[in-house]
Amino acid sequence: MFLLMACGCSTLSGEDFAVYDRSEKLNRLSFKLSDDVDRVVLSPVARGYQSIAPDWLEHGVANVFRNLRTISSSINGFLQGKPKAGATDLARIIVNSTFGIVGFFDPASRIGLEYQQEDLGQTFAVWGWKKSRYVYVPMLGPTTIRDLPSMLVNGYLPQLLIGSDYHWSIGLVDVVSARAGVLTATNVRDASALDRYAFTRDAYIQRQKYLVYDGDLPYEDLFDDFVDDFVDDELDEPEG
Amino acid sequence: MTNHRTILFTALLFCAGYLSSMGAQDVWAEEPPTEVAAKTLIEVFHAHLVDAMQTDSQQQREEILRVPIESTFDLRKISSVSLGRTWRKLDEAQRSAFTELLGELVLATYADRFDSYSGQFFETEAVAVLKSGVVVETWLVKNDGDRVSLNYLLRDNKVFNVLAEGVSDLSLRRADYNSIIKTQGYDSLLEHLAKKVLQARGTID
Repeated sequence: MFLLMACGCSTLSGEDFAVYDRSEKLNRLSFKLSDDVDRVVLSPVARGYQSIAPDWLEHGVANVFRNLRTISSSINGFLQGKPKAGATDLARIIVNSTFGIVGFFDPASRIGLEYQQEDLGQTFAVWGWKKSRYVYVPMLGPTTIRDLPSMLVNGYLPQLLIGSDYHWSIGLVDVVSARAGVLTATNVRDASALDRYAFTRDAYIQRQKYLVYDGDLPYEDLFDDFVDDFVDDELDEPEG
Repeated sequence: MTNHRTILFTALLFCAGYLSSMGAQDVWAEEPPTEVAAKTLIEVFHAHLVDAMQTDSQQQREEILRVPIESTFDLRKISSVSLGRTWRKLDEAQRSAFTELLGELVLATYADRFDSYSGQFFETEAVAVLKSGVVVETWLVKNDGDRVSLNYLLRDNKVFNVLAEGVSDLSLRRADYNSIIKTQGYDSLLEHLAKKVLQARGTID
């Protein structure tokens, strides 16, 4: 296991995170179905919640669910061979669950213990599972086969940790809070995108790559992605 | 004689020093070091964005941002990369028309998104000079302390791509535009983009 963790990061490459959407027709159908439900039900409820709830309450509720999921982030930090990230998340859980009143407040961030955003999909990527087929799961959203277990684990985690006291209404609040948290992002998408499916897919893949690299993307890859287009542009001769 | 030689030599050295310093100043004025030029370009653009945020109307924000956007972004390169193969098939007039439309979209979108000010500010973290170009790493710091990573990629001293939290504007544009070209054709793409400009300006829903 240690060897697996130690060798993972050195084998990452930008090309491995290219979009791999072999089931595009099915995914587009799933996207449309989910999008229709979102427009009619989830998005209006999330907007209502955002307009009624004061900012401190909205942040507090989001903090509680993030605190529950930080255990997964911590474990995955250790699994990726990043003890500092794992320990930071562990310390966050202790500080926020106690001084932060079951995670409603986030005193950990104020003392420099930032959320590390690790998950099982990133762990698999670091271990060597790089290229993965894109999937749009109805009602759950964009993911890849590699990231799907992480999506399911993170969805189930609050229920697992709360145990017998878990009530379906907690799940409902979790879903509405999560949707409200990405309203700005989906508003930007809707304002910019011509093909919202392609936009969502590409943004998801790029965001996952960014998280796998902990925000420290290999810059040369960013230029290499466009190198053929640069050559065309610099030659700049229209075809006859 | 010796004194004259010394004076002449000193005068020549002085003149040479002065001329070389003049030369250095001229070179600096025309072409400062890449790292400094890139950092300055982005920080000046950010200063204009903060100005625009404190302005009420979309039209005024566009007036503030028009020149900075034209001088900061390589709109022609962004256009060519966004269109990919289709760019090669366009004649010069079509290319210019597309670049102009894209410029209007970038302007209207910036003016629409940066429409309110509540104490947010920009920070430049680092500048990386690479073989292929330059990267300027910055943060948008919101009033609640949240930070959004904004990295600018430059080539030929102009920005061709912006990464917000790792998501590349140019990659999204390329995927988005080519999807429309593939399914509906180039003319339809132009119609969609013109509509987006009007939507950003609040002229249509």
